[in-house]
Amino acid sequence: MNAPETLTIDAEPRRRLVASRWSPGGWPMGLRLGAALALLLLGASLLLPLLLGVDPMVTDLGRRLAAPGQQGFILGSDQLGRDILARILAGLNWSLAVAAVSTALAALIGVVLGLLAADRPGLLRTVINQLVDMVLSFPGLVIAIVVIAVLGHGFWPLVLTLGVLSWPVFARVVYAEARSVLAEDYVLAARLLGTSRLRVLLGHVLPGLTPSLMVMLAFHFADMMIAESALSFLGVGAPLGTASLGNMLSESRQYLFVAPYMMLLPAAAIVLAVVAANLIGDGLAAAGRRGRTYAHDGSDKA
Amino acid sequence: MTTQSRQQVIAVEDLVIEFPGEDGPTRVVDGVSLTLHRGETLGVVGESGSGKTMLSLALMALVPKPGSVRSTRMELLGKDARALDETQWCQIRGRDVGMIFQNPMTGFNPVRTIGRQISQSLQRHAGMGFNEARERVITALRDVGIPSPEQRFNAYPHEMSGGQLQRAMIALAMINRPAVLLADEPTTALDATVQAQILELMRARVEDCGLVLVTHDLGVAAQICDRVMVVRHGRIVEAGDCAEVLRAPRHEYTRALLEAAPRFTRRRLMQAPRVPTRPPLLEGRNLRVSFPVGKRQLHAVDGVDLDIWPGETVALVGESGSGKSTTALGLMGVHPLQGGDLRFAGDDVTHASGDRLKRLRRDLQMVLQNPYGSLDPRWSVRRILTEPLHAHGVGSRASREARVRELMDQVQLPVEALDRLPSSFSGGQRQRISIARALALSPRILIADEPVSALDVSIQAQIIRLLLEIQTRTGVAYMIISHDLALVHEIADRVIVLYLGRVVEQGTAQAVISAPQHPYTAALISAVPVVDDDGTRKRIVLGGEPPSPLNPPTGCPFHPRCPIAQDRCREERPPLAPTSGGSLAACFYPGEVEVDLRLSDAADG
Repeated sequence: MNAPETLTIDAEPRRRLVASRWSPGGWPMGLRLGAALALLLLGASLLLPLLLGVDPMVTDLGRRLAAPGQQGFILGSDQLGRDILARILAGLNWSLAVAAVSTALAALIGVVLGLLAADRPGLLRTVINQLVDMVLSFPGLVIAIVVIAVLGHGFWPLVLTLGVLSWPVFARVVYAEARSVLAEDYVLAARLLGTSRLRVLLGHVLPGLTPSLMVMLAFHFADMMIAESALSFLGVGAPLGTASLGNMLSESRQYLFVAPYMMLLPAAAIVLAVVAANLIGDGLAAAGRRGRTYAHDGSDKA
Repeated sequence: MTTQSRQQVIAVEDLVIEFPGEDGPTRVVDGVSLTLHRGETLGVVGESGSGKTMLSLALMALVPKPGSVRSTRMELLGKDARALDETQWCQIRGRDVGMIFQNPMTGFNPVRTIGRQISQSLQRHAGMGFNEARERVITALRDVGIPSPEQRFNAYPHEMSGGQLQRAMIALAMINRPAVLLADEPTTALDATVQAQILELMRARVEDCGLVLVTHDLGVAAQICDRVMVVRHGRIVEAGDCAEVLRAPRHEYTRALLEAAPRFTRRRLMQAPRVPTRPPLLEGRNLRVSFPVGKRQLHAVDGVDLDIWPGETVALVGESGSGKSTTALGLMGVHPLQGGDLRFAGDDVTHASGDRLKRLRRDLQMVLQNPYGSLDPRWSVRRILTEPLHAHGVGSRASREARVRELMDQVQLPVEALDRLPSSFSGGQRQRISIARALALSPRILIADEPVSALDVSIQAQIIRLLLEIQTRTGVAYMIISHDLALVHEIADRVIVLYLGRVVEQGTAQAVISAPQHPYTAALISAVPVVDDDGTRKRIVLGGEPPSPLNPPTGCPFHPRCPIAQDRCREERPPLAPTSGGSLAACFYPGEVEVDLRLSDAADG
């Protein structure tokens, strides 16, 4: 009783926390499935073209509209006799890249502005929150058409359009969560110690947001995949002719009854990629919840 | 005690509560037996993790899943309670067994009126109509001392203060005249003066039922219990007549708890009262902090004078809402000072900001109240302790590491723990880390806001001892914010009493505690539940609760609650003036209210 408290069984909660959240052994089933699917798609889009050695742009009008397995095409050919498998792989590559970069862009803008709005009450907060509302009310398609008209088709115009139109989602969540972290006692303690605002934001607030951010990144990635395909389908996304999943869908319209696989196969690729991203998002959210309860157990036991 | 002749309402033998875990089941209650008779109060005393709350939940069959409850005998009102199913328990809870929870703020549904929630219990269990129930509830609210109960019947929980809600909670628990009343830490969330009111009320109201009072505070148990049961790790370590156990504890653990309980006996061996030859290190004059509330200003700190000399310990005391913490955060530059003059070592730091504020913080540091919230759960102890060094760019990597190890040593934690996260530490250990962090920059003044109030009593004593050791070694001055007058008496050199953001009394701890001049100070002292109370201690129970600082009373702000207020107090505000007792007090009739400290023979005051 009068001896100083002994240090009781510790280290344990931390080890378990780390194990359950960040090693595949402790992942929820959905997360494992999603991660496996994502790896498969990414690997296929990067490696298979090399194995296949077929140029997705080469046309062969003599062998057009071949069904899967016929005339030497594994997944058939399109209206210009281009290899559908090669085009799907190249299209996947394009779509994944567009989704990844535009998600990163949206997250960057959203996190910075969300943190600023949370940390600076007053004019800056009002301005940022108004900006969020304003951007959310933009008609996305119209903006996309304007941007393409001004900048022309291409990877960067598309990424810019998607990123600049979708960052408010991040800003809103980051703003709300950052405000609750900023109200924590350990942030007050840091300020009392003389820690600068930037250090507080980067050292205490941002790490606290990481679990939510990872979940949001996964879901946003799925949204961007769909948005890219939709814009390309409408002709304001990928440059015409480029092997992109949206372009392929668009071109397949006229041959829907002759060659339904021209539509079904790229659509399946989109669905698989979106499902993978959603599974990862759900899995991360579940792991985050579980991690929280573990951490809570630890504090109560103490 | 005539308990034997009264009806036995609870009889439990060999109660075991287990929770399944990864390494087999954990026993949180292990073979507890108890009996309770009508009109009797049984105190279940233990620290956090002792299983006392689970024990009380088991008496209402409310142990949460996946816990399992076993016993060889469990009788409630002479019937076997083990055979009851959930439907039957629903009949019993609220009718035969009433419950009072620790936090009255969360005990009521926020979207329904108090009156409706209480009358629901009557309508359900006694089959009353609403109008009849309403009459009964209003009577019950009046009985627990709620003013104008007709209006309060229609009040929502957020419209009532904590003390009022706890009164309403008692009315709810008692409304069906239960045979058993379970109270789990009923006063822990309340201010000392309000705690005294509630204990007084419970003592008066519990006549024809058996009361089980679960508490960590032997002082509280001493106030109202007939018998006590001390539990530790789910086992009873000592049980018996309350006065008997307190007078002659047989078990070592009880003795240790008793040792740590509040009482005005031990007095730190003090140097002769310091004569302030040097100028004070920190000098505050007429400090003001206010917050805008709508169009009006809430004056949380309203003209406070405050000095801290090097190496001394100043205590800032008062009820919640008195402006203690706001004063501290004002000194630390978190809440800007709207007025007054603050000097540190002669420099004007009233409106310090930016680099000057940062420089001030090397000398002026603060430990927060809640050790569970004040450490970032994602940071290792090493990173937590180096944070201040990084913030001020102190030292190289190697010298920082050395400093961190030195700090761990100073707060008596093993250096091996440096890589662990806060979650692997207990509350007391976390507070040690918090103290180490505040000491990292070697400040000359350390402000501690209720540094031990979130901790178990036995741990409190350890942390206080640690603070005193650190002071002896480093000569740091403390400003301790506390509501615990017994603690203040033990460690402080000087005391400043705040009421509604103003100083009402100020002087040496010796003078202020042993001969308080202001009636508010006297009431605060009297409200401390000391263990040496055998029931004859004269008590001053204040009526009501602190008024809102948005609407301070005219004249002396304390007059509506003051036992000796005269007409003059209602019109004129008394200035802080020297008194015969040696301290300064803001009262026209200083020293008229006397307190009974129950100083035991060990006292030197």
